[in-house]
Amino acid sequence: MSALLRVEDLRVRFRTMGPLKALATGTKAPFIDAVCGVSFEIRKGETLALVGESGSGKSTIARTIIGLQRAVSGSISFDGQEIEELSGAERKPYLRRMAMMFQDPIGSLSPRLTVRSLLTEPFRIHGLKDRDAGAEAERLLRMVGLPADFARRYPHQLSGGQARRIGIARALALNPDLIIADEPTAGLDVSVQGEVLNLLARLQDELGMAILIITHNLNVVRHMTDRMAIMYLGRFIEVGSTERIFEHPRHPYTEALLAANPEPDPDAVLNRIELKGEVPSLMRRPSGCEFHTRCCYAQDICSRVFPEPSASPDDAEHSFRCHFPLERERAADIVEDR
Amino acid sequence: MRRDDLTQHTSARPLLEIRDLNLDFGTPRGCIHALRNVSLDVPAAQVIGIVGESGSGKSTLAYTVMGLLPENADVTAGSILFEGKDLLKMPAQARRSLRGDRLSMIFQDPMTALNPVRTIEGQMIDIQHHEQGTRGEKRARAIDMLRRVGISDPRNRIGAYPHHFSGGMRQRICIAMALLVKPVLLIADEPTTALDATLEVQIIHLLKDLQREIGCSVLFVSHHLGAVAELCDRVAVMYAGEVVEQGAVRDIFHNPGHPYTRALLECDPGRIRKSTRTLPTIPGEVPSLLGSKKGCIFHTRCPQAFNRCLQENPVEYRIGVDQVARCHLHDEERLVSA
Repeated sequence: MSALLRVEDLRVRFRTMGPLKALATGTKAPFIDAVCGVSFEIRKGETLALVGESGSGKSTIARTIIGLQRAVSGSISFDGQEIEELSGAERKPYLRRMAMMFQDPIGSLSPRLTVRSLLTEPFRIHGLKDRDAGAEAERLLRMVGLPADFARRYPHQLSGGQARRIGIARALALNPDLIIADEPTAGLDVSVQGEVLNLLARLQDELGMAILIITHNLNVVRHMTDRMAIMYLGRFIEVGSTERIFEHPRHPYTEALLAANPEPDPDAVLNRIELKGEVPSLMRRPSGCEFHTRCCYAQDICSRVFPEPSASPDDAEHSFRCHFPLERERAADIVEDR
Repeated sequence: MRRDDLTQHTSARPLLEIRDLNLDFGTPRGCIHALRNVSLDVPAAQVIGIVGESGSGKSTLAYTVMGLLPENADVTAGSILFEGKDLLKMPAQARRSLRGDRLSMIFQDPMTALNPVRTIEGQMIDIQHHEQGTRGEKRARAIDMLRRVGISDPRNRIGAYPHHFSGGMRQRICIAMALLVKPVLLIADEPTTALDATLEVQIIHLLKDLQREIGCSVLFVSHHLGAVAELCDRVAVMYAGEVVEQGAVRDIFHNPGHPYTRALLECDPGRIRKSTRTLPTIPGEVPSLLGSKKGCIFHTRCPQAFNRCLQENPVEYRIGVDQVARCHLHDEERLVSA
């Protein structure tokens, strides 16, 4: 399988103060690196998850891929073509093949447009005016399992789950090769969450597009994705196949994230590694391994030396940045059941 | 062990007794019956969880106890006895003096729960307006409480504004404020929903520790089954404005009696061990609460519904020692076993 999207050494920077203030206060680096040298690729039809807490840079990566944010360095190539350097108009044919589902399902729909015009907006933007808007809207609604009379509704008449479905339908309108789903289940109830994920999985089976899922909920990732990347302070700290990482996480942060999801069972064994403190500020990155301030296994070297990514000896696709990667597999009950 | 000790107290009079509470919201489209025949006990020094999906009335119930309902809300029947006195019959002034003294609350969104233009210090001193003592003493108490919820260097940071703190820190401050007045009943309305998974665990543990230390009761409203399983002694499951099942946390999670509870537990992706492409869902939608309803409220989505469910609203059937469920199936069972 060839790579559909290849991101190499991507770096995205946000200014924290104007140039004058930086000069006046003597700040040498008046910016923060929200994304810090990230490389990954998505193959055709594959599902990749970016997982991390708020502020880890996962949404910034998505915004950079679709061109809402400029990178300071690095390359993004889509189907072999470098797109990061392209101007808006040159980018358009590539953007047509990528679609984004935004985080806030209702907020990302214009309140003054009907569902029908929301669904056919992509055709207007990409100059496909000859399509029959009514028929297209109906086709898309059917695809996401909503009745055709929804076309006349406005966003405020939709529930969260329905708005999510409209978001999916909009993303599918131009039959893209890649869908970027930013927190597709945020704010949805567990029962509706399952419906949305099942819909995405079914559509992927039918249409064969690749999906990039951005989420902080590991339960979502587990059943939906082929590979996952765990982010911390704008860097990938562990990448590998979803199954492999769930069975045998190597980075302590991954282990803590996996354990952070309380089990819906009052008798569950609480051998949980509770993380101390919060994500450090991007303006004051810790020295050495950036996770050492919260890591329960941290030793001297961790605060001094920045760990380079190393691959797992038995699985070359599984890599992690840690001086003392975890050796043991996860709690036995989970592995046994698999 | 500790939990079993606590359940012994249930023979004494509960701290809060909600009996047959009915509440309507007047809307231009008619009356929405947001709470119907809700009965719930909160024994002293216990944590009671209320779980349910959005729109099930769990927050409305919390706000009714607190007396923070909007103007179009109308309690049509029932009583809320707090320490033996009916909150609903109390004069507004008396009720007001309970809030921030015997009763306090933590809100869902820590970003908007604090006043942005005043320092933490001012807000934490204000909340003690029922207490005796000088400003200096109140300030000292506030600093002490901030230290207990895990804010480092509280002596200096108490002078900061809410925007100086991150989301997790703000929720800690909200908890500190709510517990500063040493309430006997703390109402926590989805206190972890707006936080990341790793912070959620921290906040749950903090709440549990402080609850044991202060010995207050907690009414914990959440849609997150895992959080409820970990924190609560007893659980009430709400669906479309009714408490469909309640009991001790172990009974509810290990031996759910109501089909809705079972369906909800099955939906939680955290419970599914095997890798699967299709997640379980609850087919159908929550019924509209406009107008009067006949029969069991869950019958439209219940896989086990039979004739009687369409005709007759089930009463609370006792299953086990300390568990009740509103489901006709348990009446059938009783007949068979008799």
